Amino acid sequence: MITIKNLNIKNNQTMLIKEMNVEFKTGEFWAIIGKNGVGKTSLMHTIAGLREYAEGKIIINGNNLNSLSILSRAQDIAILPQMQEASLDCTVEQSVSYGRYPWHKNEQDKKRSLKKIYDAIKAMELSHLKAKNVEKLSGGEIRKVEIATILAQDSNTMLLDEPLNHLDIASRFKLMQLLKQLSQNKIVIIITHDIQYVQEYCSNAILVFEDASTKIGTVNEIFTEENFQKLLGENLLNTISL
Amino acid sequence: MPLLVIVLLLVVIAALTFGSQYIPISHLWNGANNLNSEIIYTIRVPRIINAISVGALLSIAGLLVQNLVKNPLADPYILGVSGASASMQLAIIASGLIVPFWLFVLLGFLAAFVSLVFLIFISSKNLINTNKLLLSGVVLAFAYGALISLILTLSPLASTKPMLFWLMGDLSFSRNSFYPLILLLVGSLWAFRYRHELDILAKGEFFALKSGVDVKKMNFILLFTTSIFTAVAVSMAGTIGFVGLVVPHICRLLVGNMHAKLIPASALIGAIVLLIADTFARTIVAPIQLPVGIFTAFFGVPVFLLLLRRKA
Repeated sequence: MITIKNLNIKNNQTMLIKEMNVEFKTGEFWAIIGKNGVGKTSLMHTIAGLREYAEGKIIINGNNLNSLSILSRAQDIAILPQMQEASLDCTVEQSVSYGRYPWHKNEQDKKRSLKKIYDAIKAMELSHLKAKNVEKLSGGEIRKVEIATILAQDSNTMLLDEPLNHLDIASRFKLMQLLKQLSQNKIVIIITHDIQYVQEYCSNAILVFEDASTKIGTVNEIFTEENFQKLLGENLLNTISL
Repeated sequence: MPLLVIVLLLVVIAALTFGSQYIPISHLWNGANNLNSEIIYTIRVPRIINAISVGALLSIAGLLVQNLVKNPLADPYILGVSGASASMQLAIIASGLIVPFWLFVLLGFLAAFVSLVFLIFISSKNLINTNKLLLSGVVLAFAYGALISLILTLSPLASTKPMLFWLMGDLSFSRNSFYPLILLLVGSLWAFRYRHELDILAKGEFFALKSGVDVKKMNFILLFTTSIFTAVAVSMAGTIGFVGLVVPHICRLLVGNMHAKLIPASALIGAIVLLIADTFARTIVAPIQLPVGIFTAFFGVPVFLLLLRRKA
């Protein structure tokens, strides 16, 4: 379980997230929704311990996030960044195997680790590409490799920043189904602009508004006209159906 | 890897044989005469050990610094690390101060370490900015070049030639040749211990951080190791360019990107390249000995251009 209490996130002097309180529990599939630049990625990076925050507390399974070592934090939380800056010059299998790093020192059974790598490759339908250099793949295939890497990491919490980017329509559906399935035993949080997918697959959502406030609850509770009016800032509700 | 060990052994035999005085292979183990024995054991063997150690240290330093700055165009020479160490050590030589060898190396190390820390500080904020860092490094290397020119200009004429030789890379100073060998063995094992972290760090600092690698600790280890390797190599043989730049590239082509293979391969190929270059340097216009740095540049420039073209 992840508990966030009175979280304030700033970018220089600009407040991005103000006084956020939320509890993420195993079995929940969360979506973070908001306009470009409101601080969704900053929020996700903060939860992952990759960004400092101004005030508040983030508690992961009873431990303060800041007290966790970098390695144990990676055992607890896997994150898929929005844009990958990583060098691509390695094979698909190699790249996915890096997801197992947080476990490599304690992992007694190498076979178990290999199985997780192959399962992740299989889940993202990359088996036929496993020996291929990532540099030679298409944008969508590279995204699948990145997702497979965090699947192999097998952390209790999975954070995915716009995971659907570059994926074709069929792969988007399959990924959302897979994440929903994984969320039965994990906490899964995604950032997305695809509201239809959120309505269909996610259990909970965080709406991040331009004034740094947030609206948090189940999808059914917070997907209201009033909230979306505030979220979109303009009268665009006629163009989307809630 | 066993093939590289065999090649290194063959090059060692060639290096024992060739030089100002040709010593046939049969004399190497069939009881050489006193003169040959003297040449082999007091001149060539220490020099070969020195070439192997310095070549391997420079190659591993190149591999590690490329990982640190996430740029395959980096090496201790280009980033001014060798220049910082050389400036300090040249200033000691020029001042006429007699300092113990360990202090000579320590001061060179401190200069290299401070220079690399300064370089990262001026060119990066939280995460390392590779392009800015590379350009800043080139500028810093120019500054050290100017400092070295100043020291040379102010030095008495008689001492200038050996200093120039040393600056261009010279393995003839082969006393204390076991120090770099010991550092190489200990340092390689130390670097090998972090092979998994290095593999992940090569993919980028953010990727490494999110994967659970302690990036700050690793960067410090890389800074420290690169600086000490470079300082010892410069103390033993002056500033030798291109080994640290080209050898890691050749290794990546031969053994791939995993540091479990890259570290030993870099050590072996670095040793082979510098030993061949040094054998040429002391044979080609014998009895005159040329600075080995000339040959590493003759080898390094075309190979690097070829590799760049191939990559493009």
